[in-house]
Amino acid sequence: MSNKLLEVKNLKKTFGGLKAVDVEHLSFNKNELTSVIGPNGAGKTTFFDLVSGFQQGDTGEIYFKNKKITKTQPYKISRLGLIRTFQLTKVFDRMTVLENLMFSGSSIKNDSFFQSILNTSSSKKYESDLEERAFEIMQDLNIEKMSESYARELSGGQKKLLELGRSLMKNPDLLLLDEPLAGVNPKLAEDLLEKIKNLSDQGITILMVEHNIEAVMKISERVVVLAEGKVIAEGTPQTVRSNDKVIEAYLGTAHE
Amino acid sequence: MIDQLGNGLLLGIIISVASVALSLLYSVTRIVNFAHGEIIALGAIMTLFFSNPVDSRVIYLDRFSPLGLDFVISAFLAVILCGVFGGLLELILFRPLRKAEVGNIAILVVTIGLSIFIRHLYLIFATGRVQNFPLELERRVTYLFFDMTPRNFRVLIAGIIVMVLIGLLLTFTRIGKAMRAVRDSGELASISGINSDNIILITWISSSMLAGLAGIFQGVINDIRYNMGFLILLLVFAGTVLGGIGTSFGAMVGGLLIGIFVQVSVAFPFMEGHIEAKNAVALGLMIVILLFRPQGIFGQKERIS
Repeated sequence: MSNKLLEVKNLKKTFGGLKAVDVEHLSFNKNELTSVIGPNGAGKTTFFDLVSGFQQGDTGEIYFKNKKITKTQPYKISRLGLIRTFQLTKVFDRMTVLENLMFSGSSIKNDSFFQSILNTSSSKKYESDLEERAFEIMQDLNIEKMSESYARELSGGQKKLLELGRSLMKNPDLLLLDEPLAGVNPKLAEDLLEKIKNLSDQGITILMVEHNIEAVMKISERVVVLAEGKVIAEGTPQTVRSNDKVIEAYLGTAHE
Repeated sequence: MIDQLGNGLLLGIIISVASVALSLLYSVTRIVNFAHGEIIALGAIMTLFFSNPVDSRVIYLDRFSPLGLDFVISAFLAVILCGVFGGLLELILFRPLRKAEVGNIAILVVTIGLSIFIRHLYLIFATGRVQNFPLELERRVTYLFFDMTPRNFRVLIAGIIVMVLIGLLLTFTRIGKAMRAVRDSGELASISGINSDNIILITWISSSMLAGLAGIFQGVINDIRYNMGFLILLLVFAGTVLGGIGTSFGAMVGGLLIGIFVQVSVAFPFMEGHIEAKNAVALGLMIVILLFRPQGIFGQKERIS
């Protein structure tokens, strides 16, 4: 049994003449915390979109838990346990924080029409378990005071926390975080980083796109560098940091 | 003025049911559906076709008539047909447009074109005559302090029951929650494991069934014409906007209020001899209310469902 959770082969995506993603082979192991870095326009978000089913690649195959998920719709990929977040944070605006979490956590099976109308004891038990889990997560993320606020009333940073919480409610096997630290104040960024590290320690496999290089180097076990859609380097933070190509394509310009 | 309250409630329940349908569709799909009126008319016309014992007066289909089915069964069949029709509209027309990423304004114009097209099909098939359901005439009875026929009273009660059911469905069921999720963000709903396409299809079907039901109500309370839906569409939009765009509960209340405004204004002294202008007062009032409460009566703070 291989340790690969996600594997990508020959994945290509072009927009007009622009090659957004052109990845020959990449695989991600269970329990690993991997960061994808690269200059703007390197194809990081497009790569996430392809993996999570929001866009279709021109060619190539994607395997998740050894199942082929190429050309699978996003909702089906989500049900398999691959959960993503978005660069521009999305929340269910007109639901409360608690509702956001409980909705994300509920599964189709346990939420039938008749049970919710009749309010059977099993559905009550299910609801209260869900609520308990939601409160645990809110406490962990320090947003339990806002449980009854509408999500649209939260600040940008709080929305980031809610988004993370919502992803956790789904008990993901693989979590794709698209710039989890973007637009967040330094203190909160540090907290978030620690939360992400903890999640990884708890056994959730994480794949993260992030521009904050210091943060990336601090917590990642493995770093993949993309430039113009291609993988130009991968390895531990130390090896990537000293890679000439990376310095040229990315860090070099960033450190000038 | 009190005399008109009963009429106002009856018109209100028609508009209310139709507004909830329109609002539901808008909030989930962002489509401003001008063809909504034609789905309303479809409900009434199909009920007439199924129930008329003499001659359905729906040409080309007249070889099937008289079907003379029981009125309630006819209405039930018509509502189902409206649902099928709405579902087909989504599958054949609006889903492909959505996948092609056609903009909202273009889609709005498509619904206007669709509305004109379907309305004139009705003119051909159902003729321009004003028709009535084959129901016996009834005498008005006083309920509390307003007068209406027992049949119309039953329509009012049925309308209220339907709306309570819709409210429960949206608030407490998985489907309702999923609709609210797709409304807030389709992408987010899909990463939560919701099949947005499916939810939108269900929304089209349920919205069209409700619209058809509103048409049947309109046919019972007033009469049936090929353009009956178009005539009431503006009031339906007004009800939706007055209640707060995209809130089902707002649409219920807004629709009822518009109906009451329209009918009660008939009793104003300055309206004597100008009854045909009754919509003006209601729509004027709507504008005034929106000036003071731009988000509509139940907009924003009010929780949807």
